[in-house]
Amino acid sequence: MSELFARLEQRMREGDFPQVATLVFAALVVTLATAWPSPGNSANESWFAFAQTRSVILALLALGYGASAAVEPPRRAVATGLMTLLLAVLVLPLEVAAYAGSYPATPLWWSVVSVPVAALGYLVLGVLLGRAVRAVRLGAFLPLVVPAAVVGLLLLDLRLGWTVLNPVTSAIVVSPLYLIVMASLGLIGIAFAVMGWRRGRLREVTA
Amino acid sequence: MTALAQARLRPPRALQLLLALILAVAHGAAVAQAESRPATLELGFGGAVVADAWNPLRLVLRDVGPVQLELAIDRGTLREGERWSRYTSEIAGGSGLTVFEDEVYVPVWRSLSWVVRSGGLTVASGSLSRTQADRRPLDLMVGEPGSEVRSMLSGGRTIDLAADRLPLRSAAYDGVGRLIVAAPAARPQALIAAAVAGADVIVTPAALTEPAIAELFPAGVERRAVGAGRLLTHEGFRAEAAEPRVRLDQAALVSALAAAERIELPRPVPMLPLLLAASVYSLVVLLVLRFGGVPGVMAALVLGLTASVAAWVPLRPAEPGVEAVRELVVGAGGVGQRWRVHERLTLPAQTVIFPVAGWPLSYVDARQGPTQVAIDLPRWRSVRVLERPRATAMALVQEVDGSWRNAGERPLDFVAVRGGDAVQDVPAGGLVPNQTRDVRLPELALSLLELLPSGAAVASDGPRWLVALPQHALAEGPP
Repeated sequence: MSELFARLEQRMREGDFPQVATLVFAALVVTLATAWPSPGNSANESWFAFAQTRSVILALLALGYGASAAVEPPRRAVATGLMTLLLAVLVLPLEVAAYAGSYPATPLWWSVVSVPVAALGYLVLGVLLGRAVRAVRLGAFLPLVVPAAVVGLLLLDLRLGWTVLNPVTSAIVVSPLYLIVMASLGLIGIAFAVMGWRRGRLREVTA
Repeated sequence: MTALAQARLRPPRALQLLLALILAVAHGAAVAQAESRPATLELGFGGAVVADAWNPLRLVLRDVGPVQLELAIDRGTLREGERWSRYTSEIAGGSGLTVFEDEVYVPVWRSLSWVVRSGGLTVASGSLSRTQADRRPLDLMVGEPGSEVRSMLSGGRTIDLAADRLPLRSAAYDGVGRLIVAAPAARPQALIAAAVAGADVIVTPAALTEPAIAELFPAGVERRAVGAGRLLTHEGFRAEAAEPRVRLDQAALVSALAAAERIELPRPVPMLPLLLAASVYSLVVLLVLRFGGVPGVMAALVLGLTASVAAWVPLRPAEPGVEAVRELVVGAGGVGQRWRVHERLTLPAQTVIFPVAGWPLSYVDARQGPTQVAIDLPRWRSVRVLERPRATAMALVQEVDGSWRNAGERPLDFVAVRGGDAVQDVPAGGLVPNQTRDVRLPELALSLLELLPSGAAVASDGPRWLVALPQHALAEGPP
């Protein structure tokens, strides 16, 4: 366990994490402030804008880190995944603030449960995406493929009339199917992460 | 043509008899069929409905089991589309005759239809054309009052009614302008109910032969204010023909009540403190993660949990909804018509249920029944429902000498007389002193006073507003 924390600490000290985390927090604070109603407004609708923005940002982040983790050493990839998950959990107080004022019909547990589960699911999707893109030797286009994937998932859901894969509608509507799919992907990811962690240790020992 | 030829053209006597027999049988069959219909619904009085008013509804079932009555009214417009109001009621029915009576609010409709279903089968149905939507009040006539009275009523919507068909609840008479009683069989309770609702009840000498009806008029009294309406003898009605009274506009009074003191949406927390708190939280988390190492991760998680609780407590509105009830009693002679406006604000989207028979004043779809109104509301919306009016005691009464007295059990915050005095704090049972003081009246009181005739009084005991009509100024209309 101490090895895991050490790896996480090491990963978080790398230059990209503070920058990305700062960007995520800044974007969400600005979203909260702009969506918050002025005293003359009739209703507080801030949660809807905030939850969808948060969901899309975290999905982009998880897909991107997942795609990059596909080519990382297993232990570093696990640390990257944990780091993303941590960031997803730490933005929840901002969501609670927007939720408390808005009084939406969607229950709060949906946000609390779906945020970490979705982060795990999109990480696994990102890994699969990264491997697929690199398999067709288009790794250079990954920065374009990740947002395109989010748009694709949204269009697919809209086309089929469900909420299973996209981060936009799933943020504000309780969708058991979405939770099942993301949790399944997450469990697969955890299983591979455990296997990767052990394999990584074996490599280090043999090295 | 000769007589012989004419006789040849005329049908034989046997054929004439046969035709007459067929006609008689057909007529008898038609009458029998009408009488043996399993369900008959009558909306309004004698089928005449007054739009924008409460109307009586009477459903007669013959040997039919449990049925569901559905009355669907679309009051939408071409511009805004359909706006449905569905009144449904489950009626037990059973062998023999079952009569179900209620009052429903009927707006100016675009489509109005009803259906009675029993076990999935339609037992009866019907509809009213939109051209039948008429706001003019009805003149009900029980018995034959004579040509003189009939000529004085010409031009109105006059309906002849049997004495036993007069409802006993005041809400049924909301759309009635005058009730002329010329039959002693009429029940005095029905007459009082009509007067309380605001109708002029004119009693002819033929009806006054019934002692119970005669008791309604103390010796020598020809006109008497009861509720929002009056009881008049034939002489009183005749004397008033030269100075017709303008009917008190109760709908305007209720509109003023409904528009006043609306529930306000909860004010959001100012954005600046929120922005500041969110920025501080983000900064602290980033610093802790950057420099705290593994303990920093743990600290950030604890900080996140604490910040969630800290954000929830001040930002969450105390209740998911707010409800308010305002009441207005309009009347005289110790009895009045009670109007109640229920208002509810809901923050989450939900189906709001009012446990009263009522009608939504807001322009929304509604599901109604004899005891409740259900409305699907989106987030952060309020809706107002007008409860079916009913007769109740009137706390503010006028004494014989013209002074006002608080006959209720609660003290009145103020009493203001149109064209007269305004005083504060009238104790329960106390007389209203005849002296004008510098009383600052609420907005609603001023709005109500504007709609009243001279001499009428407005008072409030807090949640309840009273509009008391004077005995002597009834012949006057609003200025």
